[in-house]
Amino acid sequence: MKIDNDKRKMLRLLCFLLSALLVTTASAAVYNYVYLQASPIGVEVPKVRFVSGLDAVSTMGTNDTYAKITTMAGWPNATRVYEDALRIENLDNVDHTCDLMFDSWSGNTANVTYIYVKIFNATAGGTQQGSTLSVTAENSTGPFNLPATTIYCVQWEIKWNGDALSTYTVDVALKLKVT
Amino acid sequence: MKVRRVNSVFLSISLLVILVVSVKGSVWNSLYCQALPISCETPKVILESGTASQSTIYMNSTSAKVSVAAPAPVPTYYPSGYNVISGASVSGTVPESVEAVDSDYLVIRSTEFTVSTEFLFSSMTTNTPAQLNFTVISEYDIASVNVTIQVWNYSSSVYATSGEGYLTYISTGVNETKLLSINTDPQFYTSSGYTKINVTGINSTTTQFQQKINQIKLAYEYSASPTYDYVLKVVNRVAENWTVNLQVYDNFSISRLSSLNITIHDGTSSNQIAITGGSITKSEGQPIDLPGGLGSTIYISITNLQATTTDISYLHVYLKTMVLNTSTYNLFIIVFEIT
Repeated sequence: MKIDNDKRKMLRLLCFLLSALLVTTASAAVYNYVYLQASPIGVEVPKVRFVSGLDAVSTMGTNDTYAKITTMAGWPNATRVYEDALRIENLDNVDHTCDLMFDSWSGNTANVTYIYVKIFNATAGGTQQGSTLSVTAENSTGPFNLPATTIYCVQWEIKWNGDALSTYTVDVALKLKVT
Repeated sequence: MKVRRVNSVFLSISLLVILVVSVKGSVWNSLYCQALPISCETPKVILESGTASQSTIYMNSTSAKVSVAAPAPVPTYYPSGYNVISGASVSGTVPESVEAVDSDYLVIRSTEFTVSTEFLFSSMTTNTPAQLNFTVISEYDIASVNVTIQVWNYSSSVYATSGEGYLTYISTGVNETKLLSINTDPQFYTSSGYTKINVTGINSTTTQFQQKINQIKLAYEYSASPTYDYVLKVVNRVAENWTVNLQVYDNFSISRLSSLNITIHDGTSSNQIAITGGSITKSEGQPIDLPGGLGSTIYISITNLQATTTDISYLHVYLKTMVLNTSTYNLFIIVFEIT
């Protein structure tokens, strides 16, 4: 009689487990497919590119959409100014709105008094375009208009703290948003 | 029922807002630019203390403070009395009528051809003068009066008839300002705190005319402007050539400075910054060469320093060292403190 009871209990548990399995298996989603195509996604010739300035050595990426300035430096407690460190050229026949923004920086950043980046429409006596980008404040120039077929200069101003050592370096990355 | 309607309206508005916000978009491209590494270099040009003045050179010798003292302010005197040598007094008093440049004149009527008035200064400093600057502002009510201004020479006991204490002109019938600056032997033109000046007008006709004195004053300099040569050295530590110049970027309380010149010299002298009459008249100098070579040096000096009052003035200046044939330069901060 006791065995019958145990069997009955086992059967009941088995039924419960089977029911749970069935429920789990039967859980399914119902959906519809709606198709979207982007065709073609082409490769354009860049409308805005970087060009080397006369005051610093730059390495350009393919198509000049990436630039690496490799020779900038400063002296402790003095401001180093590169009026023509890099240039931005609009190859297009229409104006573009640009915004040069801080992206990241690393190295001995605590020993930098400031690094300012400014856009000018000429090296000597040019007018500043947009605001001053402060690397230390991690901000941007704000939007500025780059007229058709025009080249602007990117000026860098670097000041190290008075106690900075000649072994100190920082790496700075900026991004140029072009619309 | 009412609750359900409110819910329905709320949901509709929410959906509308979310949809509108969600569809707002723009298209842009991101171009990356890196500067790496930006290194800290040992300075290739440095500042060193000068032999004149007190200077402080800060860490790494790329900024400095220079402290200099202006001589005592130049006192200004007005006549305490006058004598009509030729003519007759019409109106006005001394010193009241001859202190301010205004509509209050000391008026003297001529005899037939001549009007001549002598102005007496007293109670002046007895320091030996370094320079005497007389200002005479007057007018004549007719044009073409031959006017002669003379300062008394105590050495020869006569009014000067030539030299720096003597001036003539022909009046034009309006208010005219004339300056006599006595730099050569100014001590001959004062004695025990006294001096005097004579203003004479002569007309070629018998028509009576009036001499109208608006202002007569004397700026009595008795300390020569000091020369601080040199206050700083700019020293090259590498073989590269540079050009160097100074430019003012800020200032405080300079209205009291009647004159100041800051120069750079290396044999030839270049005036870089000038203040005249409390204003900056030259804020940036021409670049001059700092030749390449270890220890190659140029010098910064201060000359012609004068102040009208006692105070502290500050000039904040950049020393700009430029790499030749580029638009790359370094800016050193130099603060000039002038007491």
